[in-house]
Amino acid sequence: MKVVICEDNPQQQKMLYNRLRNYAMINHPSVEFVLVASHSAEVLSYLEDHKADCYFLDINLGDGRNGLELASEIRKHDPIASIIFVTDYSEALKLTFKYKVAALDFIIKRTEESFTDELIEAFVSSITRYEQLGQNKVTNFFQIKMGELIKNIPYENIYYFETSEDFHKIRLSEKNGVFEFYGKLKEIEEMHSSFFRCHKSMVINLQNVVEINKKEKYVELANGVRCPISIRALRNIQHKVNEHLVND
Amino acid sequence: MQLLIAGLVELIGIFWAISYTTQIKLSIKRILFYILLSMGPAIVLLQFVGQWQGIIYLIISSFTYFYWLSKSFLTLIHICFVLIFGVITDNLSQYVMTALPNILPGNLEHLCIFTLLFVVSIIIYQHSTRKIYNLIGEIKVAYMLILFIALVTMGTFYINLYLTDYLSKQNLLKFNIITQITYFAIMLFVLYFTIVTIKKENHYRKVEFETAQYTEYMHSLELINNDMQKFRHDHANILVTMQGYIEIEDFDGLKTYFKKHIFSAEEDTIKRNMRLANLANLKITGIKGLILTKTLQAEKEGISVHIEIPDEIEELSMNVIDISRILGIFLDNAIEANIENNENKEIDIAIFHSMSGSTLIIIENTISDNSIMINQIFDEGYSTKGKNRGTGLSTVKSILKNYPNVMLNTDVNNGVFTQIIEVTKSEGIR
Repeated sequence: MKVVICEDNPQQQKMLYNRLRNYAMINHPSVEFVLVASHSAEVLSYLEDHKADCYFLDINLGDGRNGLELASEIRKHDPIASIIFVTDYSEALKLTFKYKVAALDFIIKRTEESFTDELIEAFVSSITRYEQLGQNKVTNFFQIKMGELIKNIPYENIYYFETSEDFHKIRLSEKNGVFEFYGKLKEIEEMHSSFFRCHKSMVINLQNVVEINKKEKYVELANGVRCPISIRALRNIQHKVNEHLVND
Repeated sequence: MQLLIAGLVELIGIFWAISYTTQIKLSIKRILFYILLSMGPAIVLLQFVGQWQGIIYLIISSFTYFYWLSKSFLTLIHICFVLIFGVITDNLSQYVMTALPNILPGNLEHLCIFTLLFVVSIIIYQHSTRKIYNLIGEIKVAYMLILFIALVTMGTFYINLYLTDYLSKQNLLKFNIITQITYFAIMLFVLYFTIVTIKKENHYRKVEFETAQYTEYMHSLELINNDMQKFRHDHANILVTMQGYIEIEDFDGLKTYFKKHIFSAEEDTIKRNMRLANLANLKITGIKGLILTKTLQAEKEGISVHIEIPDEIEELSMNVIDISRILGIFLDNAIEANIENNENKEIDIAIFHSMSGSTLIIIENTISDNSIMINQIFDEGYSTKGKNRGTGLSTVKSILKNYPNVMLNTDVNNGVFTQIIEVTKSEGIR
């Protein structure tokens, strides 16, 4: 994993570099520090023909270009690299970092010990993330993009997908939220073996079915929602559910 | 003789239909008056002068008479529709007659079928339009338009029916073309007029709303200004007190005083200035006023509000009223959720442009109990017959149905509840 550090204060830069390097040397020797910069221009010129996997950026870089802009530039080159902000600015743009440049974390420079702990914690999560990306584990998730932030939703958490009447908007309902995106139900239906088209405008996840009511023609899901089911789907659903139970 | 009976039946039918649709109570006196003033002369004209003169007299006298009786604009509309139905069912009954076997002598059968069709269509009309007229309520322009359309349609029908008898085949064609084009042009004009009116109405509503928001915004600014003034007043006091400590050389006292009073006071001021500075990037006054007002309201409840607007936001591809309603509901929900919370009362608001050019509006708040919130949302999922728990979310959904360019994401994670609205640019929706 390649790491870039950008911090304009020389002492803090040195401290940051030392802490991270010390931790990496013992625990993850494969980590490589490819650039320790004090100006965003250095990072930009590096980006022209190189790539890194993890960036530590100071928000208030002294040269007028603040960390957010630099992060946006990095994102343009590389949508998946981990970006971690380091700031002494308590009114940090928390949500903006998260959704605009998909920052992995941001650390506020407070007391010494808590800072080091947070720093290492963020570093570890970026390493874990890097390894996961390498093993292609993301295929077990349904991905939703909100701004630049990509949310991974485990398939088993999904209750159903539903189209709205007039647009190509699809609404996904899962354990921890409701999300909307553009797409086609037909493509979603084929995405996973437990997805089942119960109705013209709905795909349910068979993993979360609690009850099939043939008389009143609905399927009840684990979150209590009752989905209407078409007559044709009713004929297939029991079979599908059984098949699914056997496979699991 | 037969013609007279037919005419009489039609007249009685029309008279019944008018009184039925307009719900005017009829006494014998009124009926006699009507026969004397309207029907009698009309029949005389029909018999001795000409068909269309009689019809015109009948129409005009009926209009005047019933309008005089009811003093209601709606009556005129009803009469128009009754007459239109008269023409349509008359034609229809002639068509039906050709399809049915002859049981009764020609004219009688026509009369029976006509009466039946006419009565049925009037009853259907009465029942189906009552709701529409209730809906229109007091909007005068709408009645004018409906009356205008009904009059023009009725006029065209009758002209087509009676005047064409006087024309030769060559002239008939010309005449038909003229009436059709005129009718079409008038309808286009009505359509244009309707659109213009709706647009004006919308614009007026928007301006009114913005003014209200702006007033509220000014009011919030005033409150903040008052706070500042109070602080300035305190400032003088603080200096005097400090001087007191220095004079008696009580430096420990000075230290605690400084930490306790000055530091916290300064922090408050900085926070306040920060908030105004953050809102400066938001150029849509309606939303700005709303956020500021709700922020002050939240802070009164002891919730700390944090606003991030790093980019200049000048425009959203959404109607200001709609987005304000949505944000109002979300912020109210956020405040409500936090009031139940004991510690960590916090609301974060962020508005910025994403890298793909869309605009994101995010409202995040802490919640006390994960499960309760999730149920509230999921209970009213769009397909199910779930109940509305009064969170206003169904309102948000119904507003967003009109916006294919807006995505709403709701996320509940580790005691943090997030609403993310993504507005992509779109043409044509205002």
